[in-house]
Amino acid sequence: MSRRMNRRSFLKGTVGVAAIGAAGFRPRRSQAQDKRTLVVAWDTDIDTLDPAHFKAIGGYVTVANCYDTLIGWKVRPIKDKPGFFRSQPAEWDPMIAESWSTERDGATLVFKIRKGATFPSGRPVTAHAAKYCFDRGLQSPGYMRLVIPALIQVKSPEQFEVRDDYTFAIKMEAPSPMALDVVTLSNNAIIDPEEAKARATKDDPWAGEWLKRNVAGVGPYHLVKNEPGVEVVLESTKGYWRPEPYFSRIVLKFVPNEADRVLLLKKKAIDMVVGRPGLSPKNVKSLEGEQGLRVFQVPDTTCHWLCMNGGKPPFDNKLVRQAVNYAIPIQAILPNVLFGYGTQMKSPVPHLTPGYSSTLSPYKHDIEKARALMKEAGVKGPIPVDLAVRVGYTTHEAASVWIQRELEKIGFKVNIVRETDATFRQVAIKGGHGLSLESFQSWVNDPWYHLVFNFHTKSKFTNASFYSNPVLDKLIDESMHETNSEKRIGAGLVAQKILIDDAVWGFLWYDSWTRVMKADLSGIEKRWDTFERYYAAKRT
Amino acid sequence: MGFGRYVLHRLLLVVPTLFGVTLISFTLVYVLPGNPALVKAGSLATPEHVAAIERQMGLDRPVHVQYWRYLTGLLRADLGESSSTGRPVLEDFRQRVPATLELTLASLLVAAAIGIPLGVLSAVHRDTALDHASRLVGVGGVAMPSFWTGLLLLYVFFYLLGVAPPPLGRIAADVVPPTRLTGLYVIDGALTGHGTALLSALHHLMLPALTLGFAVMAPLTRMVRATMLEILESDYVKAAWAAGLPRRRVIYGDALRNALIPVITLLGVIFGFLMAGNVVVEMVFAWPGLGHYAVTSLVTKDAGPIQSFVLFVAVMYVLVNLSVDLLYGLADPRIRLR
Amino acid sequence: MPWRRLARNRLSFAALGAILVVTVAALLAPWLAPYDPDEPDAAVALASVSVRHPLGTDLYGRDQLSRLIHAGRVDLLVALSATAIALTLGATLGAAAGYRGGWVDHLVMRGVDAVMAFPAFILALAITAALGNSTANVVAAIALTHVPIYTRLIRGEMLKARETEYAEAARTVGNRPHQIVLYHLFPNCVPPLIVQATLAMGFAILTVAALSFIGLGIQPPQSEWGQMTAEGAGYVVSGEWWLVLFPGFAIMLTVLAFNLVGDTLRDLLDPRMRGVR
Repeated sequence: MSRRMNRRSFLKGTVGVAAIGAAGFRPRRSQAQDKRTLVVAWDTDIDTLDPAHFKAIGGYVTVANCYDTLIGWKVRPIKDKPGFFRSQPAEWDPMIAESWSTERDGATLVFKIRKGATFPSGRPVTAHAAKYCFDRGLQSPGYMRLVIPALIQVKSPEQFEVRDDYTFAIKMEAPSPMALDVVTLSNNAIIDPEEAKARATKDDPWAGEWLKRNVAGVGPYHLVKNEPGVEVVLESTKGYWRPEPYFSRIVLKFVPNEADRVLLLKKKAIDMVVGRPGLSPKNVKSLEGEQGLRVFQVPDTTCHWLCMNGGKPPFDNKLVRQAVNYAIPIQAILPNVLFGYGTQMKSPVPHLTPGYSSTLSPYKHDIEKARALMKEAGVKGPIPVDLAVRVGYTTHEAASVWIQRELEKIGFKVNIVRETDATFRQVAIKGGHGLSLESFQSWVNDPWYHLVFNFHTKSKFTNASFYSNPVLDKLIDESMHETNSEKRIGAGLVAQKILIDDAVWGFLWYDSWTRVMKADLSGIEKRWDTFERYYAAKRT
Repeated sequence: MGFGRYVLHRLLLVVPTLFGVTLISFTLVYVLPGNPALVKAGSLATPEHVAAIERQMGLDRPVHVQYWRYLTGLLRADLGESSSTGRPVLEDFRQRVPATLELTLASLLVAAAIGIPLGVLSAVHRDTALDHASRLVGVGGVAMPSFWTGLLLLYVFFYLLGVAPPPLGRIAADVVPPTRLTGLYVIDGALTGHGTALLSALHHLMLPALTLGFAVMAPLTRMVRATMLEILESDYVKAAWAAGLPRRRVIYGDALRNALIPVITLLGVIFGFLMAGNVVVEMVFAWPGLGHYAVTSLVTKDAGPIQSFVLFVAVMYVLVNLSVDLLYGLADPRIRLR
Repeated sequence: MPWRRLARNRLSFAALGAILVVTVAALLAPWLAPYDPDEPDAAVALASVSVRHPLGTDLYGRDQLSRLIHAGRVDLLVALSATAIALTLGATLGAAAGYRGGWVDHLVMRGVDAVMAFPAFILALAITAALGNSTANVVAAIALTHVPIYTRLIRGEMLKARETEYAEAARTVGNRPHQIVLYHLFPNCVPPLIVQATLAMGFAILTVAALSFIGLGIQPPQSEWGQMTAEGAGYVVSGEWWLVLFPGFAIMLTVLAFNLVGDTLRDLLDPRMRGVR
């Protein structure tokens, strides 16, 4: 081969590579196969697949698609948003349980298990499997061990009862208004007991080690690949009790940089971006109106607030807390940080929660009033204070810049501190934060679920403002399991009044749940827990 | 001292160093702020629940017990577990090392292919424009932060010219990776005859390898230039020229070969550059390698992976330096006497 | 005269000028910067280069030129303090090891070995993560990784100088050990120390920038060059180049300047090392 030819073929090589570059985004697989594959970008790994555990989003989404629960939240079409659905308060669909009823004035829940549903192993799903799953939740070192006793008043496995192979009952100590919501949580998904028991050991009787990395449930999808940092692949399960889903394959690609996720959407190389938030409001806005894409936003129950440590001066002073609430530039934050994908928080409970009132809060941006309150409180500035935000919470970081400005106008000297999740939580629990930006999403859409975790004195790990008010504690204790809905709502209003007057939080905003996706997608459902199930998704 | 004894002596010296290294890697994680048990427990956890998780993770034991557990674990090749992937760190490493190795080898290739000829030419044509240019590349290459180089290359070759792929890892999203033999996509692609995967892998490797290669090239060029100059001034070369040997043969034959020997001493430095470079370059190009894994773990304070990454790099570094010493001892017997 | 020779080398002179400009800009940042570096202005978010904003604006509409100038303060201050700490600590340890010898020498050198068993950047990375990423901790991490350079340098010089005649003379006249080290031996070590420190400044700036780029160094909203590049990195794929170009350029220019001046100083002050590295 002559030298010249050598060079020519080399050049040809580079052109070839360049040509691939230009074609890099064009799908090369057959159109039909592509149509039935949903490609999603996210930035999470699967930390565990154990249903009973608290998990990263990657873990939750995988579990939600690979495991069914006894019942599911019912979704209904959203007006003016064809192809989109959302769950409704107090409405459920049958899943593994084809029907349910109550006994003892609601203190016992009875589930009739569907006949014909089978685990991937071929074994039928029975009431024994349901009992195993709740027994496991109550006793294994997971998350449900805390939730089940607190919210549905079940303390012992005997209260989970198999009446016959297809009848399962939960005997609560008293009627628990949140029981059906708790049963619906993906944490209480139905596990194949035989598979789990085969992996149990003396030290690990509930097979936590195995279930952490393996899926043994009845669900529309099953896990075929988990390569952390690269991708997770789900495929539809043959012989599933419902008709097969439209998408036979779900590819969840790990794309760590948000800008790349935006780029992939623009190039239509992926179908949608998921995660919390997955895309910052600014980027969602920029994709609004983009050819071939569709933005879906629906109000959500996530609360974001400026957390003031009530145990630390000057925030132990109610007047200072009120002043802070008058200094929050919410009218600047809503368009500039949230770009409209959120609404002002006017109550300590989410605006979608039963009993929420939008008329109780007097707070609005009013620097003069804030200054007057600071003066009345008798605190002399400048007061140095750290404002902690978590790394990666883009809306919090942006909001902190706006809040800093305004707080400095009323006598604070604010230093913004960024902390990683682990550090943030540790400092928060020890009461080390003065100011911080917190958020909370109630999976159970109930005012008392929300109030007990955020404001009860005994909720040491979640009451981040260290608020302690015996009157409110008593109200919560009395109303938690109150079944009369009028009484529940009435007490809820009282609680809101107390908390607003005490200015416990610096009220910021309620998020919208947003998804940007290819325009041909429909059947996208938003449930209370925010984790999407792809079963109903399809292309039109 | 004979060479055999020298080797033994040098090997024995490695033991306390490695021990010191485990001590440091353990301490780093021990003092790491943030309680991993809290994150694992979730937002509704109670103090008792967190304490249970701490017990399960062994965080409640005294320091020396934890260190001992760490050491004995290491001997059993137990590197702990990652709390974000829920897998043993060793498994994560097995998945990620090939990605880093591929990038590292490719950038070394780039650096050698450009850096060595540049250094030689620069020495041969001393004080010409070429020499000045190469020296500028030499100092400039060290001064340019590699994340910046990478971003500039991306802007030009991806955004403006559209010839590079988006910075999304090792292979196009719609290309199935080749069957795993070595884990290096380029090699596996070539071995299995998977042309599409091979081309896509090369295509994705292009910019990261250039970026990292450029960072490593600078010290290499400087070293080659300096030693080449020294050799060209030596009596031996002058004699060769006086004897009428062809200039090209002297320069590219004996002189170059001798100039490359001291480059061995640079391997340690180059390895340091490569590891530092890998961390940032993998971040820029979302390269699913060890560097990316390390940074994600550092940001989320994931103890197992941090500890193992630091240890892994240090052990590699110690081994590289050891082999440098041994190779050099072999090449230059005077060293052993020191 | 070294200064005149330094001036004669045009490139080095330019480099010295660049260092001067960056330093003055850093010192006078509040007066030089046209805007408040932290003032958001939603109306001009992500605006390109213009007369009002010569280097464009970022996501929050903050003026990039003002941020760049203020960032220079942080970079220089961190690099300078890290270098000063490392030099003081390293030189002291090196002097003690070299002059005293024996177990002191052993202890110091084993410590140095352990630190040097890690590539400097990786160690700095791990230390900032372990200590928590405050500015002071970044300084500490960089300082620690730089200590061995000075320790080894001074120890070597001490070993050589200890045996010289004037050290011997100083001893016989009855000088105390610390006096001998400080007044008789140390002055000889100053030139190589200056060279090392100048070169180390460049490395320190690169390290701060890289640490901040990956999110473990200087934290926003405090501006720092590497961290500014990181904030802009996401916009490269969509074509907003100004967020990345300028801060990166500032890093390169400053580091290059320190390296060039360091190289020249070495040629002038420490002729033995010429051509090496």
